[in-house]
Amino acid sequence: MDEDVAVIERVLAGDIAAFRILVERHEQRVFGFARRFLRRTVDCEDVAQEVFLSAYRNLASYRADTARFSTWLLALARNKCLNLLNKRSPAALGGDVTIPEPIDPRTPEAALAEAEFHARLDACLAALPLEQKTVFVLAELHELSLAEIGNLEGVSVGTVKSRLSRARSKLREQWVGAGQGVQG
Amino acid sequence: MNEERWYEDWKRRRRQEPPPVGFAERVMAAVGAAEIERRSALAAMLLAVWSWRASRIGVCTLAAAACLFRLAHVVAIFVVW
Repeated sequence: MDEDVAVIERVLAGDIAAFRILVERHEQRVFGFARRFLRRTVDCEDVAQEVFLSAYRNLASYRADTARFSTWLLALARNKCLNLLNKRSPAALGGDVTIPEPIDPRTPEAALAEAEFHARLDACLAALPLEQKTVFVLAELHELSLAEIGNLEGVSVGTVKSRLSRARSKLREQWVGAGQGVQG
Repeated sequence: MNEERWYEDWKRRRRQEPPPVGFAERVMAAVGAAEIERRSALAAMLLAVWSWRASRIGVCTLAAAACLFRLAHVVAIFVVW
């Protein structure tokens, strides 16, 4: 976090090239977040680019004492994703759903079993209502605290807890419906 | 248990996904373009203000007033009331 603040100060002082450090440090997280809501790589890239451009334009308004820079970026990403989802029909946002898995040194059977497990989790997550999915992604994947999610979503901690709980039960139901129990 | 490890692995992989090659370059190009746009917009605004006669008179009047105020401030040091 302190490292981010030091770089932000450099950018604000006029060292535009230093912004690249922030992009390279957070691009995977922003892209990973966008991917949970938008299936097409081109949409994810557009959103991620808009997030960083918007962050650059509004960098002076970022307050390090209220949120981590990564959380601030996720808040921007969340808004951009929701805007795009509101603008376009769900069908228009479909496309290349397949997420490339890294090369696995294990036996093909073990790798296939895990890939199937991941694909089923992806499918269960994709089927969650948007509000629940947002909270689940922020809490489980990005490990944000309930208070941070509450600030980001503009709701109380109680509401975040309830959405997260509903998301987990729904995910479990879908998983069990598909034939197995989900962990966590 | 395998599934617990797979679930943790799924979370780790989905948390961070590599963007397409050249993503950072494209962002920096967009940032550079935005910066040029911002600067040229500022320059255009200043030129527009300067091209208006009344605004030129206003700016000169303000500068003269600031100068007189500063002068009066310096003179006031030597004036005994």
